[in-house]
Amino acid sequence: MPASHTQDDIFFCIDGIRRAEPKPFFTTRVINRFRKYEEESTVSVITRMGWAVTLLIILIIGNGLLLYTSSRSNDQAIRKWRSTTPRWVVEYTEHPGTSVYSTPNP
Amino acid sequence: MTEQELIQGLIIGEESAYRSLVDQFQVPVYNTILSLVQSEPDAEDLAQEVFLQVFRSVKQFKGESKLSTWIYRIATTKSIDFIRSKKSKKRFAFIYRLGAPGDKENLSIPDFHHPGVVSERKEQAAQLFQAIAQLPENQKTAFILTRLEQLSHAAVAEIMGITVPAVESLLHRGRVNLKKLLDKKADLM
Repeated sequence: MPASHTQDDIFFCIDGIRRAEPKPFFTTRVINRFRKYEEESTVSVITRMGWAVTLLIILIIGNGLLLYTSSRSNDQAIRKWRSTTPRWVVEYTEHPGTSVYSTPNP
Repeated sequence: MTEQELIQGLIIGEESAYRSLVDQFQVPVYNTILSLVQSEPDAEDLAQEVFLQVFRSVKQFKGESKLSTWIYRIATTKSIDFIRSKKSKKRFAFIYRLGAPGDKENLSIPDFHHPGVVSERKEQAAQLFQAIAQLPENQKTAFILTRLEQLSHAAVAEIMGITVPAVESLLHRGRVNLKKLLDKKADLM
């Protein structure tokens, strides 16, 4: 350190310092960045909502398909069972309240 | 435009209010951040982020303190967070490079020339800023807000969320530490 620079010189060298200013058009840059941020957040909300709705639709369609296929396979199974099972068993199974004695004996 | 009108304008999203706020506070915000982070590009970016945060969270501003106090608080918090993350990144990079042979880079603080310092005092100011950078965070903040921003001890206390005697104590300890750091530097030269 040069001899002329005493510790006090250094310590008080910032007295009366001029405030630093940002580069020109700082306000415009801030406003533009804010607008960009707002646009991005709006787009992201819309995108997120779009994804949520799509997912919901896929879920509903999937559920519908599952219900449809399972009821169809049930119908097929019942039809097959009916065709291979004796008629009195079918009738007794489908109308459990019916007395066994009133069911015609094959 | 009064402070209340300005806040109302910001809440309803008036562009004139945004512009007025930035015009009014850009110099104190930028100067505080620049003195803390000691890098012009980082200060510019952080100052922009401070205003973005003010715009985004103005609805939550309860008006318990002055608007300027709130903005200064955001600016100092962002700067301290930035310094912490930069330090940890530097430390990580240093550890990572330890294994690499022939690398002499260390964690030294680069010279910073504050644009507001007159040219004949530039060298001294650079030494002082290097010492300021080594102060603990709260001493650094208190020192910069009082010496560079010329704020009162009461205003600094409000910004930092501490009492006035605590600010005075921080400033005293800061001065002692700065003198020690400058002494150490003089001994090395």
